[in-house]
Amino acid sequence: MSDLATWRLRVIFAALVLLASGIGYRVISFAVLQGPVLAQRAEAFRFREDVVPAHRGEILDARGRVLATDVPADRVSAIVREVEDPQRTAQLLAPLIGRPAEEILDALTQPGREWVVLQRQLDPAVSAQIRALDLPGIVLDPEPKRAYPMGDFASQVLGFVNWEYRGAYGLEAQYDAVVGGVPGQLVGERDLAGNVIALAPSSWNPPQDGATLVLTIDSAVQYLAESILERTIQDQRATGGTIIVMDVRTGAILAMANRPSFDPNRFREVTDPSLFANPAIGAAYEPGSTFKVITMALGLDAGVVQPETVVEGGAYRELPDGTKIFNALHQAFGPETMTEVLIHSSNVGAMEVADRLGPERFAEGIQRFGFGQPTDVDLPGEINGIVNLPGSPGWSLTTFYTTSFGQGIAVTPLQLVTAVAAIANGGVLMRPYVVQEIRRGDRVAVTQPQPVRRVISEETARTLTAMLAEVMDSYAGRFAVPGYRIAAKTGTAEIPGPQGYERGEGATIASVVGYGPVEDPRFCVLVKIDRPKGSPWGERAAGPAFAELFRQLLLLKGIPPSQPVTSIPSGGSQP
Amino acid sequence: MVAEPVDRAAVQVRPTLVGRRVAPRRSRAWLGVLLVLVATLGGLCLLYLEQTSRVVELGYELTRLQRNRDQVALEVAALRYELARQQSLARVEELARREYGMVPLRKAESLRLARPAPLPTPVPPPRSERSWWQRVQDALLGVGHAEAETNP
Repeated sequence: MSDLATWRLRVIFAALVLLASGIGYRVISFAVLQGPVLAQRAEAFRFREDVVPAHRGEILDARGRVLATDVPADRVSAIVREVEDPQRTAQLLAPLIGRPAEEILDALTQPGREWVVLQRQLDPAVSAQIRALDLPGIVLDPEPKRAYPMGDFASQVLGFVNWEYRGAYGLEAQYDAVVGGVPGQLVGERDLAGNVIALAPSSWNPPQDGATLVLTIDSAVQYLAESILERTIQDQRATGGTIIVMDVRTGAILAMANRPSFDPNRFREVTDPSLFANPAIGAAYEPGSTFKVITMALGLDAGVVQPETVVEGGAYRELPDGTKIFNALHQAFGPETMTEVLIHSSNVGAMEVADRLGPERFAEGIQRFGFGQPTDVDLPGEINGIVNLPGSPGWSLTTFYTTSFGQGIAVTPLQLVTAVAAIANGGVLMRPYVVQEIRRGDRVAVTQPQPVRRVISEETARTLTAMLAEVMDSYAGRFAVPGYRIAAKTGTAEIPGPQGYERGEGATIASVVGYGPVEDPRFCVLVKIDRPKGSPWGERAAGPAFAELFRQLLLLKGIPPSQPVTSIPSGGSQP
Repeated sequence: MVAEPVDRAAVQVRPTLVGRRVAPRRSRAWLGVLLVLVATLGGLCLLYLEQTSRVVELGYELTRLQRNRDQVALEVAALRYELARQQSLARVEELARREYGMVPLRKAESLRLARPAPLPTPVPPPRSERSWWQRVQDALLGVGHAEAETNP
């Protein structure tokens, strides 16, 4: 064999040895050095655990209308290293996902990021457009999206679902554990495409879908309340308002309308988070003369006054320290019966009733009616309100007397409605509630009306109802519900500020609270208008809305009039 | 002493094996059993493979169907949402006003109607009483009697 051939053989041998060494090294590296780590990664890839989201239950109104449901949506993300042309990708995506191109470009070029979410909860139409672009590195993943088909309808009652798909505010938060469901898990060996291999061992823990909530809220009544409230606020150039309609026999809330409100479909566009809270339960106000209903109920129930009891209705009451507390507009009514005290909305008359009760009995009665404590309604964010009890720092002889006509006490709209509903139903305070049924598959849990306690006797309730019906009759020139006997009381409350009560235009809260029909009360309604500028007075700013709501409500519920009536005044017939 | 004659015909010569030795019958039987076993085992393996691949196929089919079901569920949800949106009372009112020219109620009149007196509850006619003799005679002769339970 020649030298050249020997040399060639040696070279080939050396090359083979080198190749074998390289392969050997890689084999040892994979099998021994990195073996455990790679095995672990392979294991993790093959046996992946997927969280299977549960479907969130729907929220329906009392008529079965869908108020909240889930709709399909997508999340668009980018695998940063796979994006070939970040500039072009950003330009194309920007108009579709509603983010500036620069912002997207920044996200796509972040150093050290492998994965970035560009936008969430995209509509299917937008998803289809993105899919059609077929951009490298851009991925669409399905994710659930909560949708509210009626927009801002009852939004502060419903609340909304946040980015983490958890309930925030309203019923969505209160019943999150019930309506949200429990996510499931799927652990199994997968192929390259991520599909579970049928024969391989796997474990499947199915998700438990959320329950469906059926509310006491009647969409027809709610729509009436919201429409009327909206129109009244516009007419009165008010800053906001609340209307509550309650079934007095059960405590079920048929409508709870607030303005201003928000669209839960676009909660992230709301700049003022205070809009998310429900002012019907989370904001206290001084109720003004509507509170005289409670004062009178306590006076009648204690027997310290009767409807025909006469008091000297001067223009003011002077306290021992020289403080003078006046009637509205400093009016003097002369001798007046208790019914006339309510008709005149006499502060002096109301103070007389409180005086006869005494501070202890008066305070105990107010608490008995549920003021100063939550009503225990099934909504989050309820506050107690403020009741100045004897001995408490806020109590004084002045607040004792002013409380009798609804100043110096702060209540929530729901507390007032619940208390007046107790008079309407014969004296039993009911726990208000919003969820009528919880449906989970075939099982249905129905909320039963829950009496809290008796607050006044049936006789007192009947007497006061007759008195309040006369009060309503006295408003006939301003507002009325033709054909029906309704019990009601207006209120015009001053708004406390840092420098005492506010003065000037838009410095009152105008309201009316009442119930009817008197023969067999079914509904209790509160209309509260905040800072009206058209008229500061309850009977003018809130009265027409109250009457209109009651007319439509009685018509809607098919309750026939008890008195002959053939026409409905014009201007008050819009829903 | 007399020598016995030798029967030459009776003397047989032991045959000499000149060809291939024939396998014994028992060996051939073992071979047959082996072949059958191999064939059976092969068949079982094929069956196992077939079943395995079928199950895997069905597994993928199941996954695909589950995805389809989820997709359909999402479409149903989208349709429910659209339906609810269309049923929105604000939209219904707007349609009623614009499309059908409807206006809010301006005049309501309640009519009191006298409820008509309820019809008397029909009383079934008394069953005809037959004597025991008549019943026996009917039974013997096979005569039947039809009776209406209620008035038509």
